[in-house]
Amino acid sequence: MAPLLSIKDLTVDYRHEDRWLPAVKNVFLDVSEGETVAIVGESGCGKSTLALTPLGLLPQDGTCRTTGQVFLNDKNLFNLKEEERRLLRGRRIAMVFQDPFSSLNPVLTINYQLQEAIILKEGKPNHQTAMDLLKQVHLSDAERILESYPHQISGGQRQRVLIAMALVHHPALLIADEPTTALDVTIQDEILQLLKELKTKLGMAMIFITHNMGIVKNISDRMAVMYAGHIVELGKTADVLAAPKHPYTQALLRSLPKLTGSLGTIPVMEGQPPEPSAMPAGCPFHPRCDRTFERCEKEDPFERDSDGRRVQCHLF
Amino acid sequence: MLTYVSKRLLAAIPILLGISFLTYMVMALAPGGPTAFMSDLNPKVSPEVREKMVKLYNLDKPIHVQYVKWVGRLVRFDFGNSFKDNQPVIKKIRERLPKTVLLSGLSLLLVFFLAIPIGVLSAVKHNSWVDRILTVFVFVGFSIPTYWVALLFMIVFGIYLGWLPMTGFRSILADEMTWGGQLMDVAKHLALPLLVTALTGLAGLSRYMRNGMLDVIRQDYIRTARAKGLPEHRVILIHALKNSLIPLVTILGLSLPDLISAGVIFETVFSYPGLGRLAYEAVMARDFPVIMATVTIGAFLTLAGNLIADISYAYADPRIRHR
Ligand SMILES: Nc1ncnc2c1ncn2[C@@H]1O[C@H](COP(=O)(O)OP(=O)(O)OP(=O)(O)O)[C@@H](O)[C@H]1O
Ligand SMILES: [Mg+2]
Repeated sequence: MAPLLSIKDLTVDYRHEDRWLPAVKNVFLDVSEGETVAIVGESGCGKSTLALTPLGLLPQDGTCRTTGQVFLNDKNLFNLKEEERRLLRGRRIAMVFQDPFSSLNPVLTINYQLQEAIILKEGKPNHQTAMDLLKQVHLSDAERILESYPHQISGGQRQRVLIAMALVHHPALLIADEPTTALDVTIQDEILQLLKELKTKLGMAMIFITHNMGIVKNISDRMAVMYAGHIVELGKTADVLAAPKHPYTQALLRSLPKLTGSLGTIPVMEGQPPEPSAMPAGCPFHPRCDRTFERCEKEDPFERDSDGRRVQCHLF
Repeated sequence: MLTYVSKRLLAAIPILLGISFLTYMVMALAPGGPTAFMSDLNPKVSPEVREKMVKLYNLDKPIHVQYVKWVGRLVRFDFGNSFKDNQPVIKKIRERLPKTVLLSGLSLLLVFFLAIPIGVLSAVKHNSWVDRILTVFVFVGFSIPTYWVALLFMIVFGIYLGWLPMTGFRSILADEMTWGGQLMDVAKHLALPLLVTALTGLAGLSRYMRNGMLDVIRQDYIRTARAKGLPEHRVILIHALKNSLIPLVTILGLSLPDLISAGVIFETVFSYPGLGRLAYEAVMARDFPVIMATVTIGAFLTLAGNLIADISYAYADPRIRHR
């Protein structure tokens, strides 16, 4: 069966003054119906850029360009007209963003913003649909919340509203870009449980971006590790976490603060990921890699497949 | 809200007094102050007239006493009589103010109606040729002084083309015209000053609108609106415009004192019988009571404008309204 979403050799560049700098580079990624793929990686490695691409929400003002292909079912999204792409947004692919505090329009009521999405589906506003949606994301006190402006409700409530908004059309794919990062720890967990529950109930596929390995383990079927725009390792979450292959994945997992063990010896990864303007030759990770050898400085490694596991490293 | 407004109104009183006191002092101490007008600057004033004036305006008393007496008359809306022609100042103002309000009001309306679409278009078509042309226009509008544009327009439309009258508010023969004819006559007289003020005001405001809009378009909630699948015109005209109009409300309030200050230059150039020209003439003639009156009105308009700006801002922005 063809995957729901299929990203083939995607490269996304941003223009910085007169140079094009890649934020996502030669990425291949498939997402099947109903599965959850987690994307992890350090800040600036291109996770959000990758997430915005299927929706067509990358900057349209000439500061961004894409090459490669993105298929939704069998349609190449890059061949569609803007209007056709818009009709997929919200309907087939929906998105939940990182910051619920800035993601709702401050001068419009929750009801207005929710009804806008409902109108797109049902052709007219529908109070009952709005109430049902809020109930679905476990917001009690729905009447009051509908009447409120965003600043009158909490961050967790706002994120629930944004999730409700994303679910209006029962999309086939939900892309969640660090949906819990801006929230309190206790609320993070509730939102996570909610997303898991809704995903199962509605049979959605999900791309979940995070840098929290605990969440990755909890929520995803497969995981992709990104470094400097590349997916350096991809595989079943359980397999990758149990036996990471790429030196970067290994370092990332090692750098996790462990609650067991003595406090003084929390390993922290050395160095910084490279700036897009100063990409090293060869493998982008080699300056930080503890197993680097001659070839790493010269050749960019290709992705290698073995048993549904993909590692982009000369060691394999 | 009501207590807030009354608090603000009370706070305005000392500010108003402060401004008028400072102006009074500066005027009194400046070379060519009221007493100088009586003697050095005006040889036509006979000693008897001077004596009378000095008595009338308490010019022989210490300055703070003069000021207190002036304030005492002010609260009864008595601005005194003009030094120039001994007419009551309040009468002059009553005559001039409506004309200034008419011109400035029309110009403000015109500016807002043009600046908003221009700004939005510029922002949406960011860096396109539309944006570039508008940017050039705005910079030209910014850099050329008002009086120069005024003179240019007078030469082109008044002299070369002869389409429009260049100065004044009505024709000399206006009284003999029909009602419709008189209206047409006033409209023709207003056309040039209106065009000039609107053009210069447009430059600033459309730029402001463009930048505000560009700012808003980058916000997360605009991305959310697009992610919902809303058509682009809804994203721009509802989600973005509503937010970028809020600061404009403030600008509108704050531009209230421009009624007088902007008028000083172009009303004089066009010999338009408004408040600005009255102020200009008064300064030139050291007409102390008229100067004080226009400054007081200016200060009042500034404070009123600030208050209106704050109240309407609070009304427009729910984040402030609910505080
Ligand atoms: N609109 C833009 N214009 C120019 N450069 C951009 C833009 N958006 C992102 N970038 C650059 O692209 C690279 C990847 O950014 P992206 O936001 O995708 O990273 P990320 O992995 O989501 O990071 P974070 O974890 O901090 O959210 C960064 O170097 C960033 O500076
Ligand atoms: Mg991001």
